[in-house]
Amino acid sequence: MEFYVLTISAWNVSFKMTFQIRYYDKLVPDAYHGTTHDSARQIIAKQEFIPSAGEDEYLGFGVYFFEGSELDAKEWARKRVGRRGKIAVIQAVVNLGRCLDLNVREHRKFVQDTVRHLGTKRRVPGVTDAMVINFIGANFKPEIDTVRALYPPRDPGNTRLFPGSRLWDFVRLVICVRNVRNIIKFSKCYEELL
Amino acid sequence: MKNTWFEDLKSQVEAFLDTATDEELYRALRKANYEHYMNVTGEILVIYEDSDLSFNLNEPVHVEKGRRTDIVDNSKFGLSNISTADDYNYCIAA
Repeated sequence: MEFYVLTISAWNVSFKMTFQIRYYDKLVPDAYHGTTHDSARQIIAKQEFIPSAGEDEYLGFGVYFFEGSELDAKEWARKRVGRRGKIAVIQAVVNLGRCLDLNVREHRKFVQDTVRHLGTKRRVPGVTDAMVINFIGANFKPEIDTVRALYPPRDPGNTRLFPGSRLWDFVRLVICVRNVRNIIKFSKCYEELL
Repeated sequence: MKNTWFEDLKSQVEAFLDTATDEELYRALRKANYEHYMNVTGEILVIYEDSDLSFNLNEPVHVEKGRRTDIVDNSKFGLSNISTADDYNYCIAA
């Protein structure tokens, strides 16, 4: 077990505080959830998120956030509600916890191997990303708290940042929180007036 | 620092896939599909064909595959989440 020792000094007095370091305490302080005006009000009033469900979800069951980008959350909500609807954005602090981080090569390979096994060896039809993530998340311990991935630039209008650049213009970092207890705190940061 | 939980999870999934019977695999996939709703403490709305049934039972009911459930008058129920009918032919909302 590893520890982090923090020393605080003030007025000639020193305090030593010891924290246990756990791999799975990684905080994201700026996770943004775009939604409808009404849903945002419900979430704040009930202090509760209800995860999205279905196999067509990008990363399976969970509450979806855009890491570090309020604008992405606004755009997503706008697409969802159309021009006439009112949108809102909730900012949250998320503990990634046990995170299936698909930006990490080993984690991607794990998902890939599981898909191969299900689809090729066991002949399960119509295997999707969400289906595999839900399969792993629902049946095995320790449970996955969050799933994190880059939203791929598959939009044909997506271009490089500038000619010769290796960067894409359109990239979103998505966090899907399966375990809502890992949403540590949240508040509304944007709301369109009715 | 070693990421042990991930290694544990990975080895469990691999072992399961190597040894599970077809029936066990089917059950695991089915559980994955609606396990989330088992944690819902409030009322579960089950949407069945053209009618709306509402009861406190976490039991899936068959619906037409692929049907979008957002045709339901959501303002009546105030639902914040509705699933789509899936490969197992049911959809539920909470």
